[in-house]
Amino acid sequence: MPDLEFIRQSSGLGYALLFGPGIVLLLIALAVKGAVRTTHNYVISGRLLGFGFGVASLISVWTWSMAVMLSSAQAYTWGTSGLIWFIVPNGLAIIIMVPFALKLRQKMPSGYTLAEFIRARFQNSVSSVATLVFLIGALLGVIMINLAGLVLVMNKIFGLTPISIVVTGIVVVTVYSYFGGLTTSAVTGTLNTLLLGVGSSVVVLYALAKAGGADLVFNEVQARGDQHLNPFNPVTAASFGLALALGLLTNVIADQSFWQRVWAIRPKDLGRSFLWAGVWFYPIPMALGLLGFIGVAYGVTPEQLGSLGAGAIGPHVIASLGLPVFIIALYTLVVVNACFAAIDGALSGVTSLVAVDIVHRYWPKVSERTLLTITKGSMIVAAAIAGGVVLTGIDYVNLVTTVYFYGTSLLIPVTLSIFWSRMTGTGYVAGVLAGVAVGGPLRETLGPTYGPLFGIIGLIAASAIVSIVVSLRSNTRFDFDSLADGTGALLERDAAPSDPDPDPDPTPDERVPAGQQ
Amino acid sequence: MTLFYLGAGIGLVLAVIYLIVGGLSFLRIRRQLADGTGAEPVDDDLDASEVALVPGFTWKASAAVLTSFILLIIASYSGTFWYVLALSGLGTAAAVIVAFVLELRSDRANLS
Repeated sequence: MPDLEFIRQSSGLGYALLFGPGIVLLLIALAVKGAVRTTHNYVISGRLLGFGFGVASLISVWTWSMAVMLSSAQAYTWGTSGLIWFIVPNGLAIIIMVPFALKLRQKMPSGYTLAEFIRARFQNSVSSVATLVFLIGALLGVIMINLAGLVLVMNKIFGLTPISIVVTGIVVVTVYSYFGGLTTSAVTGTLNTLLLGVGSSVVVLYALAKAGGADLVFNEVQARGDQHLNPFNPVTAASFGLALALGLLTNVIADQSFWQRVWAIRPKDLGRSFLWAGVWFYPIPMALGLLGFIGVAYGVTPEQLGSLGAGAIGPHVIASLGLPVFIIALYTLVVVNACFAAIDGALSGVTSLVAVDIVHRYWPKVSERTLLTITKGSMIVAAAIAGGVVLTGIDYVNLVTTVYFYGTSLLIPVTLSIFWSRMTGTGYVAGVLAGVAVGGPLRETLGPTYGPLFGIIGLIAASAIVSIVVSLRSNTRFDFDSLADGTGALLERDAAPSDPDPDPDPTPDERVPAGQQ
Repeated sequence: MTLFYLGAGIGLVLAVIYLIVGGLSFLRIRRQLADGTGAEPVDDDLDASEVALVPGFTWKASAAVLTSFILLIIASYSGTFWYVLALSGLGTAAAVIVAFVLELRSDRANLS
């Protein structure tokens, strides 16, 4: 096959593709704004999200801009074995949330956040604050990673500078997200899922046709005689597959964007929404992964991709195949909207944590108007922090992977908190600390190849063992039914006590009478 | 290029239907939020028994994961099969449409 000739598109088109979706999404947000008058509705959409918005918004929140490009990158680097290790655990991570979501929604029907559940479950400041810190860190990580994806596609195809991309992107998302909260996020995410599904199919079908057809591309890849068509390449599993699979499962558990939807989707639609979202997420990376094979068939070298690495293979192929501008624009829109939807989902997640776990908890007497203002303002602060970190030029991708690595220490303690009545607050905190203490050194000392894998295995094993052993030493059983007491925290604010300290120390042997505030 | 035109045509039809059913659901949420039925009255009625379980969750989840795995295995041995992967994105849009339709039908049944 002939060499690909990279053709840079005009920067004007690039800016149009950044601002265009922003304007459309802003109009939608303004349509939502008038109906959302309370903080409760702002952060939880009145618990009215149905099956359709449930499925679509979950898919969009999970399909990060980097994921759109990473599926192509995995195919380019590892072939079908890379796609298997990248795609199969990705969908499973959402599906596996079903039992978590159903259990928590059944036991605590009027909740808002995971940190709120941990506080009600253990009546312990340390555990809830630690959870809150991890959740906020993970949400900021989502924003940063998606900004990285935006920079990758807009810089590669249109030559825009990273600073202009980050500033434009973060301002556009924050402006439209500000109005309407979770409802806006659900609606914009649903539009994004349409683009991800139909857009990815249309773009990939055109790219395959332009490359001479799927059979020709397949034969070219096969003729190279490497491991790209070996689905069981063991090197892939050892290099990134296992660590990625474990990390993905944690990403969902430690992501408030998902927990927020657990309490926002109507009860009858909750379980099937998560199941369908996991199932119908699969086609998107499967389709987009094929762009990586087109790059392999054309013999694109890592040097041609430059400092952006294998992640740039999708944009590189799209900009080099001689595709019409509307196909290039459609691909860019898929990535841009994936970025926007993931970021507005994260910003919406931040608002729920700030409203419920910070302002309502520590200043329960603030007026509804002030609470809503602070809640909305927290979006701007979070966006400014994440954008600021990215603009400092530090290795924020490493920062984010580090945050997610340590966030994995929540996986087992949170799971046990939900499903095991003997789990205690002390066991929770000890489990998190043990995971960090064991996994961190393993990750840092075993090098980049084996460090992440053995680090995460050590972290999970240590947090599991310590959580269980410490909890068993205390002879207490938690009454999950007590979580159902009371109404939603943001709805009972007028009746909240003036004492801002809601964490009395429970005696060891009492059955913890938990509720929400 | 025939498959592209076919996919684009189907995609266009799906997009129109998607926007219509999504718009109807959006109007329902907006109306209920504006009426206040999404706030206190609904929350007061929150009941654990309303949370619907997923019948056959284990086998459905296993089948989904296994199917994605098998599809990628087949893609390792057949180039023609790649068109199935490329077209599968349309299935995502179709599935969301079905979800919206089921939601709207359920709401209509509850009203009548």
